[in-house]
Amino acid sequence: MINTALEQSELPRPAAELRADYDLTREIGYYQLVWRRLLRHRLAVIAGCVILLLGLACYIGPILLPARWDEPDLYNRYVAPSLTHIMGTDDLGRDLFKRILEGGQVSLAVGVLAMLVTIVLGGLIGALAGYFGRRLDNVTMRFTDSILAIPQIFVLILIIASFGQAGHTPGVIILAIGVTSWPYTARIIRSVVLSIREKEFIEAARASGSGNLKILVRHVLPNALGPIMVAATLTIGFAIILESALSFLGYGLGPPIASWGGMLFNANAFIYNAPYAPYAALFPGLMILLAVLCVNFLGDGLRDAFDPRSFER
Amino acid sequence: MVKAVDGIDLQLRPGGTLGLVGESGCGKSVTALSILRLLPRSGHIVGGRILFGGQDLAVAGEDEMREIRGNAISMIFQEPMTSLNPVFTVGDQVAEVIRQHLHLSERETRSRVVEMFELVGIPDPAIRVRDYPHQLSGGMRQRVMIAIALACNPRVLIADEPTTALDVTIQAQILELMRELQRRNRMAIILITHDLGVIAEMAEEVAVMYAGKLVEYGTVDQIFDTPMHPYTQGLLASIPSLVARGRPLSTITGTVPHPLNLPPGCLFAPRCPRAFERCPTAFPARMEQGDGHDVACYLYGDRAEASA
Repeated sequence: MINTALEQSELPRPAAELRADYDLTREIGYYQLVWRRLLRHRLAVIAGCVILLLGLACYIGPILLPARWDEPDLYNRYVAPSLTHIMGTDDLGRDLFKRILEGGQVSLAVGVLAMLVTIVLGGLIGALAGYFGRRLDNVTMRFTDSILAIPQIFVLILIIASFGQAGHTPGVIILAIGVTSWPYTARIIRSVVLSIREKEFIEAARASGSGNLKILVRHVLPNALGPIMVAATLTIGFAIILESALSFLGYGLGPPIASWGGMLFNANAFIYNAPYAPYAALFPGLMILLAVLCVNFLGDGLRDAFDPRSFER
Repeated sequence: MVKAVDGIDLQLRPGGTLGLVGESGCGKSVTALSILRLLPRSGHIVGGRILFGGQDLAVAGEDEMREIRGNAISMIFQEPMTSLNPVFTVGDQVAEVIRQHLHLSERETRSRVVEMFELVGIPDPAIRVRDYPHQLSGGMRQRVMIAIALACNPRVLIADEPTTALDVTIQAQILELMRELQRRNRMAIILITHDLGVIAEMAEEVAVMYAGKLVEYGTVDQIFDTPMHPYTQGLLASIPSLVARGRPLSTITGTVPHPLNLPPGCLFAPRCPRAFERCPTAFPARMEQGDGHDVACYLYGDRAEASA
């Protein structure tokens, strides 16, 4: 029965025109498959929804809440959580709930934008080092190693301090976090690209006449998307924490800009001391925890969803 | 420097099939990769010529090579399971090589893809083009690889152990398919394998390689009926026979020498049952034994290879 298949191929192709109707590019269901798999990851879906809600609340919420809640109200300092002020008020009598939403705008934006800087820088350096290898790999990776050997927080403070008063603006903080965080990402992406480079379909692509650029963009990158996604989500969480740490150390965004880390810093003094307002630290802390946890859960789901081997038959 | 392959003199006629046989690690694949200039970074061509229609591929530029790869000369690999990109549909991967070389419209490309699927005997081609590699069996994937290799009507197909990873029934189908397509397109095939059965079935000419050297060359009948080189004789003797029962299987003792530690003179001498004092002195030249049957062995004439 060896010849059955050949006999089929022997057939004329009467329906060749008709068959041209399918659309190869539209049929690329890869991302559709990824999406479906992601939806099956319950924790990731919940985390994604929480992040979405959090984002919406932070950007729309403050518009809906009374404007005077932003004004200092010295008669209502350190009001404990109540029905009017569900998270209480801070040292200047401002409503903490509204401030947390406003701070969220800053913290989330810093997280996402710093992630973008990190992924672009780290991804580019890591991919080139991993793909071309040899001397380029050696030079970039030893450079990366030496940056990794310096405690990041000191470099951050140094960069921000060098800008003087302008250092306490979101742009500088985002860039500073981005340019100090890329080595971690570069390391991850390099090792991923290194293993993809050795795959046989890369050799096959070369044997059919593809050049380096095409192989990188079309074969290496799509196969590295999973790890890139994980690196991206981890970096968002990491950047939010870094921004909080900077604010806590007094090198973050200056007042009156609110951020979760800055609010923690303000509340710090009154956790154990009169007038005892631990909730003023608790809520921003919880928000950081929630946001970071959710992006990490989402990253976990994305990694599984992007793994082509996990597609069921 | 290690010479993985040295002094391989081969010719391929349009429409002909050349079999390249030898043990693992004897340089078959390196020879094939050299033709397409796909050697790994650690390797390079130090001398010699690779003539293809008047063009010397050994010195061609990278752009010229990219134009040739997948177009005039294409290659099928051993591992159909990992030679396809898992994140694209198989149809898209066939389309890729067509887009690269043929510059057809998107619509023509698509119908060409379905045509190729049909040609390599994939059932329901218009549906299967949308499948991902993991949805296809090994045999089907190898058919896709063949479709990719043949999509641009190459003049030469290099098949590096195309059926090693497949089970025997699928193996027979794939070989039959290659032969059929060869007849159709007058395509030449270089078939690399250590499976002498495959060679007997497919090849017209056979080159036997040992440790990076060509030791015997002849038509398939010459090699199988009157093998001359003791290595070829050893290879043929080690095929299990259905007739001669009750005897232990003949083997060639020892292993292929490491390229860093080659014996002096004839490389096969340490394992050769018929070696004599001339053998370790210098590598024997390839000597014509009539009708294009060449052998590099002192048993058939005392001429050493011109030392490099």
